[in-house]
Amino acid sequence: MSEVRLQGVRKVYDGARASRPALDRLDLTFASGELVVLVGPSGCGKSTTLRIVAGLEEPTEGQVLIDGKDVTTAQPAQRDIAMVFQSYALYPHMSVFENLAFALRIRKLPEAEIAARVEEVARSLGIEAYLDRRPKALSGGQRQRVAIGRAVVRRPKVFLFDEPLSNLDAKLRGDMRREIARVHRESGTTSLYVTHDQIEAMTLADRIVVLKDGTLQQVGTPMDIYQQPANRFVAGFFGTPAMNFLPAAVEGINGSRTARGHGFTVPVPGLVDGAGDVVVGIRPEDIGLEQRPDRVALTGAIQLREVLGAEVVLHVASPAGEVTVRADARTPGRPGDAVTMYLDPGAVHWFDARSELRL
Amino acid sequence: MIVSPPRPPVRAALRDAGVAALLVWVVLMAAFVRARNRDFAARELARAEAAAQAVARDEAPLHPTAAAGVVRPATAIAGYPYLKRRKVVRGKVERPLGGPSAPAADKLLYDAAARFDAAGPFAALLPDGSGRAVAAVATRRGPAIAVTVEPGAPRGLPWLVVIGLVGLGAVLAAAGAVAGRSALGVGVSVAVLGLPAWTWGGPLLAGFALVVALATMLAHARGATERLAAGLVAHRVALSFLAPAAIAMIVLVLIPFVVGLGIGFYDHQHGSWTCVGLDNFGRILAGNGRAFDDPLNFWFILGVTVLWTGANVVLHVAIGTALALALHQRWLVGRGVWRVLLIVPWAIPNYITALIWKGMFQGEYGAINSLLEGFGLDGVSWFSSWATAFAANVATNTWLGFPFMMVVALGALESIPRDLYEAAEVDGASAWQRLTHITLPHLRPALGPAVILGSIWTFNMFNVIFLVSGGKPGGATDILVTDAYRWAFERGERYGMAAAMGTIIFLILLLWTVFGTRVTRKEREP
Amino acid sequence: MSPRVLASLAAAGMCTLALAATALSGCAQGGGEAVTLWHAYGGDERAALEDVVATWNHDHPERTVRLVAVPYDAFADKITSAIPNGNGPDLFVYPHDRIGDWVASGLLEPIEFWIDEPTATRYARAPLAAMAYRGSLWGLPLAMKSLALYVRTDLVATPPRTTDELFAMAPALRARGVFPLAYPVDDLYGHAPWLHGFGGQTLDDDGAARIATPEAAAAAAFARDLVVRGVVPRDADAALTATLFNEGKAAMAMSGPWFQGDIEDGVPWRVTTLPVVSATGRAAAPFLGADGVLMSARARDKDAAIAVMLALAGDASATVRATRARQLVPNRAAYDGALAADPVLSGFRGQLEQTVSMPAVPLMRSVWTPYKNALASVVAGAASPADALDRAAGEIRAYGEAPR
Repeated sequence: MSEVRLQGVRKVYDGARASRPALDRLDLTFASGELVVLVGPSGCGKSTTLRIVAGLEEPTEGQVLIDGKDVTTAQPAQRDIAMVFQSYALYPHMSVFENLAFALRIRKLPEAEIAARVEEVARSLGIEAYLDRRPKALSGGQRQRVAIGRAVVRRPKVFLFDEPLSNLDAKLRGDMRREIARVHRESGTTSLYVTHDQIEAMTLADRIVVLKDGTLQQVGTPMDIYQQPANRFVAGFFGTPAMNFLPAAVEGINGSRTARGHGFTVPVPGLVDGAGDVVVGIRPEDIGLEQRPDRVALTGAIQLREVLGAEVVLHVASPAGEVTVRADARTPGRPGDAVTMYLDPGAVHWFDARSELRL
Repeated sequence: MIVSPPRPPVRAALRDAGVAALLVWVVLMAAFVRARNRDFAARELARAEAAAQAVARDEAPLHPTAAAGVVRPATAIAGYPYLKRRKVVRGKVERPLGGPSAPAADKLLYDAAARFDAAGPFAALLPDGSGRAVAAVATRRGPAIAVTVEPGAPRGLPWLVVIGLVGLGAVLAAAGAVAGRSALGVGVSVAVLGLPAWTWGGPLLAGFALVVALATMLAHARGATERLAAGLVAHRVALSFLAPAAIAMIVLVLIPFVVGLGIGFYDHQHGSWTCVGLDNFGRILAGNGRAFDDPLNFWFILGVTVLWTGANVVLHVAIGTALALALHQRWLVGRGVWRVLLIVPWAIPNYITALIWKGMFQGEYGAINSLLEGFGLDGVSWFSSWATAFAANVATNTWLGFPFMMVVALGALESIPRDLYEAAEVDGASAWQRLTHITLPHLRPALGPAVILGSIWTFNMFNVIFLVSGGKPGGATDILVTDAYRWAFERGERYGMAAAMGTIIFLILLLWTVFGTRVTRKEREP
Repeated sequence: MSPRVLASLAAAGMCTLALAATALSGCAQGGGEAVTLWHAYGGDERAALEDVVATWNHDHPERTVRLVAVPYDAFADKITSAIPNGNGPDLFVYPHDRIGDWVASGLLEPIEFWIDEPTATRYARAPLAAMAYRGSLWGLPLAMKSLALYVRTDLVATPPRTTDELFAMAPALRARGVFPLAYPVDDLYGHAPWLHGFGGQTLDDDGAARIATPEAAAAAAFARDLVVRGVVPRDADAALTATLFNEGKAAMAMSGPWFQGDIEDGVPWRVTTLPVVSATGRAAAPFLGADGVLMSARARDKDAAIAVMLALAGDASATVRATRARQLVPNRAAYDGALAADPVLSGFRGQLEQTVSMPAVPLMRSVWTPYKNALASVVAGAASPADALDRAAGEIRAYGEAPR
């Protein structure tokens, strides 16, 4: 139906600044009806990917196929896609109604149908009261709804979202996230969503595509990404607070290897093939402050106690480095206190120290 | 709201009375000087007249004279009707007047006799500004003429009176303040100046003093003066920064404007000024008594001016916008170079441009006719018919004026966010639809003020009209400003008419600006 | 008052003073014992005048002359505004046609008191008469200017003596792309020779306008004829006249003494008198303009001023000016020596016999533009001569009306 496929897509920008390609050999397939989130730090190429799918930029090499058709060189108008921009890009001199109706009028749909569609979309997004206003007279959240409405009313094959929530405040962001999820669910349209916020990625995505410096880091469902990060970057990108990375060296022979770090020793499970220097990754929620038989101990001193309400985050200085621990709000412990942390060896993520890949 | 500590009423009363008195006093000084000079002149004239009468009766004049005598009728030299020989008789002595080394005093008699011949008996001040008077009285033998000696210095200001008035005023103001009716005290102390006003300027000036007194009294009673003083003190730093620019504006803009406004109510012809009230305006608006299609009719010129402005602004905006759109394209090579080249027409002084274009439109040898003839067409006599002369003017001014609109449009174009175009692309808009739905609506608010400015400049574009077509044919391509110029410099220095034209032009443009600003503001509203 | 406010007020005060000083510095003139003389000469004429004044100053150290050069464009306006305020010069040099205006404003001192018959006979009659107005004499003539015929001797063997000869020259010259004669056709100053040649005038002796006469109409029709039959270019101004003459595209030009400076080296030329109008048998008579030295009514030391005037207009000074600056001086004695043989001066002197003094009446200044419009429409064929001149006459009459 409306499957999107990128084959061997590579984008190089000319100029003195381009020391590396913006996108390097991307091969991706998005199934019809899927909401895929492209996530990564600034400059990773996610927006470039989106714009190439939209047709606002052309790839240096490779093909883009929408619904089986090669649209690599086609104009955006011919691709039957709709885009929601970070800055909303609403036409300032037209009313909300006219903004929504613009694309439909260009396609010369009958006015009655245009009116019906616009009103239906406006009602579903809760903006029917603003149909006569100019964008100038709307708040940020309302404008974003109009931008979404403008895309929805088109009933395209693919929705493209370019960091749509970056300009909103935290509370609005939550409301709009749910709105977008609802829109996707109700329309069932393939959606590509670009963001740098991992929470949006985790909550909205059917699948996540993680990019860094133009290269693909990992593609998978949110849980896959969270529980089985393919490399140290992905592991560190997802999860708040971020995963702790403790350097260690593997000793011993197969069967009874241990990783010895500064101030702690963790047994290495047989399935993990690491040797030599490794990085022990452990999420803050997998570190407790109560002794348990199978846990590995690590002592340190509390540097900072961040109170989040339901829980606290303790930043502890230890011989292995700074470690963050999530604990219940009732946990005692003030900055300066000595504390012993208990790591769950089963929850450890093993990474090769040099290649940073998962072991 | 400015909150100031309550001033002691005496100080406030004295301040207000002092300022108002100072204002009135400045006017009184001028009136005093005028009255004094008038009295002085009258005295000299009376003396001259008396002396002339005495000379006529062969008596010695009472007051000393610089020259006196009876001048015989003139005899002209053959072939030189403007060289006349005269003789003067004093007592029994007769001597000739004139010659390359004759004394200056004799010349006064000679000139007075010439004036007597032209205009009859008279008494007047000498035109050399020395303050002396000359009088001529008819006698059987010829005019009896007397010239007074240089008068002493005119009397100065009566200082005792001044001090007395100042003191009296201060006492009255203070008394009023102390008695609790400070407003009345202020009013009365300024009204005291009405007495010297009456002496020096008659009832008109006294009335003026009374009006100022009343106004000050009311202002003081309502606290307006207090608020004004407090405001000035509170903003004194800001005002001191404004002062140089304000003074320059007042001297260079406001005062000439007011003077021009005033001159419009006078008629000036060959050196003499007459107050004619609204007559100049009436004549202009009635079309100078000419038909509507006559180039000397104000309405015809106004029509030409409006047509001129409209044609130019439309062309400037169209060409300027088109070029701005072209310059905005990313694929255009050497944009910086093009931009500089296209600004050049605006950068060259328009005086020079106008002369160059005038040369190009010259009938026999001009570049444009040479081009036309090169293409096998006939050369056009550009300034012989109205339409071609008008077209020549418009061509020149368009060349001069489009860079301004181009720059404004370019600036507006660069401020359009790129993702609006991308959104429109995604929505399916073609290049033309993007132009009409995004680019042009963004250009309109920027071009609005530019159009108002441009239209005002074009309305008053003297250089192009005057230098290119010179109003040809027969003044038909003149606009209002060039017509005003002609009143001032080609029709006998009719400064009054020129000033009236200037005021009318100002009013027209003022109306246009107000109207235009209102329309632009409405467009910007959501 | 805080020091900062004081400082800013002081700065404001100084700026204002500076502004005022700059504005006023342009105004102040004169003062002192010297006789101030304004002039608008440039180039050779200026050098000659400075020579004459230097000689005077050397001979009369107790009453020196201070020479001030003022640009021509603003000269008349400066005189009109400066003299009544006491800021004007004691003497000034200017063409005679503004005399009427200035006399009406009371700015000039009549000088016939000091002029006796021997002094008067020094000058040719017409230039001296040009300095007279309403029965008095207002200045002494320094130089005369009128149009004459400049001829390129390489293109014209014999200059035309009559206008019929002028027309006869046209076909041969036009075939070579050359105009027989070049001058600004629609300007009254250039048209005046024909106007007077046909017996017309601008203002009569009483100063009344006599524009719309049959003679003037005939002269206007003649001007149109010149253009239509290819004798004269339709659209030439002074600059183009010079260019055409220099480039050999015009065989003759009608211009005044100032034209010599515009002629390029290598162009062979001479000056001769304008032809006779064949239709009437009268000579084409251009306007005569006389540069004169005039005295301000507010001159401080009138005896000194008249002495300077007499010297400036004297025979010695005239010789210097004629030799150095090629000025056409009115002093008869100047032509007793070598100057008599000077071909250019002789050419102009010959024309001088046939000139009409430019009226100094104030109304004259309102005549130029309406007349120019009339000539332009006649030459373009847009109006008949009678109609165009009627219209011009109506306009001029309106401008001469006193306010009601």
